[in-house]
Amino acid sequence: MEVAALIFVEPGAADSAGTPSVPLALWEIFGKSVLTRTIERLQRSSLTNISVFADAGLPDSALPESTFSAVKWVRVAGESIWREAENTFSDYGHNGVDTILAIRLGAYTELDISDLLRFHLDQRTHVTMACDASGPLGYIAIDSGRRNDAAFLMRSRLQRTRLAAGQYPTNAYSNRLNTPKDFRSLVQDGFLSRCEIRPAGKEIKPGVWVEDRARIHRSARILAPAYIGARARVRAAAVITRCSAIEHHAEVDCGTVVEDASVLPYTFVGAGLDIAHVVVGNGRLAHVARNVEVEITDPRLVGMTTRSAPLRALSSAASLAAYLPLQLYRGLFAPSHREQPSQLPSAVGELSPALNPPPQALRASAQTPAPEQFPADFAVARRYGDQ
Amino acid sequence: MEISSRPVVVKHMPERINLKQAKEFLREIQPFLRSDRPQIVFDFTHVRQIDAAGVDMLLHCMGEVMKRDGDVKLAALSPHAAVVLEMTRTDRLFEVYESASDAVRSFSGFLPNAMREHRRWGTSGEAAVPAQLPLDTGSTTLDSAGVAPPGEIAA
Repeated sequence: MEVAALIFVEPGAADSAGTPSVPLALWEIFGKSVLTRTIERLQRSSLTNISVFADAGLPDSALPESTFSAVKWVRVAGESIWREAENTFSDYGHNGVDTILAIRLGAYTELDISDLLRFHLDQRTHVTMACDASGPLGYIAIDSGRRNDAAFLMRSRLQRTRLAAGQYPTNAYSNRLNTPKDFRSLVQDGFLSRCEIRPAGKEIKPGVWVEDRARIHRSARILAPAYIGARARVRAAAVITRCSAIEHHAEVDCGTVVEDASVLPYTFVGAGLDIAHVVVGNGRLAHVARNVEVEITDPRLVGMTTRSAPLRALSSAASLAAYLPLQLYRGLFAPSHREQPSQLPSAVGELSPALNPPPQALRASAQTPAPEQFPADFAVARRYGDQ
Repeated sequence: MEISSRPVVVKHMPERINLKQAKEFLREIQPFLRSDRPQIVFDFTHVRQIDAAGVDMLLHCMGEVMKRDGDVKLAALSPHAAVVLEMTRTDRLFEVYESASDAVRSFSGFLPNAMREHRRWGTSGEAAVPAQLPLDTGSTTLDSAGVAPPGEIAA
């Protein structure tokens, strides 16, 4: 039986400039996005005809086009995605494909693709939707001959079917990935072995995975469970802890604490910050606990490093070359921030009572083995609040 | 409730606080910062964006005010401002209130415990032992939300 798959990637909410943000299905977890993992899962189930439909506004770098050259990538704007999908559906039907699996990302699920297709054939339904206890998962198997059903389904963005569809119940691991909180829970599930996603790289100590060419300063602290991606950089005195994932080519600057957070690829996190319960990347910061997503425009706080390796090397060389002259310039010409006290209170100039020679009574009492009580002129050096 | 005689200045922050805006804002509030024991509330209602320069400006204001034994409080933080202040660990340096009126009210509610006891005992002329006094939760120690400011929690 010939089976093909259509995967739909819809853009996230638009930012202040009107550019669509990268959807959660394209955010990387331990080096691979949900889209990459879904394609790999389909290929493991021997599906070779795979088409991915993505919004034209999404950045090229967000899609793993170069990794999967056998996959057909369709980039169209807005609603045209669904019209284009109808055409592709017809093409697959003409080319002898029997069943087409439509997947709307979204949700990450570990359902058994082969079992879903077997169920679809056994039930002899035209359309079969995979569902778990929380509802549909966005995986729909359709007979290639049912073009009207497919057209209805696609015009409703895979939300509704023309006729009653069969339901394939599954209790496989799934995560709806509706919010950044879901994304973080998927990362945590990966760390805690609750799903098939596992941190890549070498486990240098229990619960700490580091990929090739990651650079970690010797004074940085990585506390398990944590993941440092390929070519990521953790600078001096930084702390990475509590299921935090620093994805590939990300950079955490000196003294920053990353706690229960994900730093997406090519993201620069500035020095001395406290990054807790967030997903940061693509110029945005999603706070899981506060349930807000904000745009950070200050590159000193959160920035993006270039994806081009030669440019990164050039930038590093330039900053290295400029380091000594800059320090010299600052030492010679920068204004001093040290302030001279202009009017000191008179009490500052006076000698502390504690520096006075001990009074006669105290000297006498010091010779006695156990003084009964303190002398009356004993100075109280410090006093706090109302004590 | 004991009312402080000194005025509380409520200053609305601009929508975007970047380097240029921060400098301009600092110039505006300089006279207030240099007054004796200044009491200032920064109202963040309109703030949509704040960057490192804005955080630096807040810290500068805090430093100036502390030198003069005053205080700066923040009110009505927008989600963006709250996230940036939390990220830069600045939020723990300031008292943050839900609204400007809450922040203003909190100034009148503050009196050190020692001063309150001094007033209480001083007026009656008795040197009472604190343990023998009736327990007084005192409305002066509580803000409008019924929560004692950090400096007010009695030992």
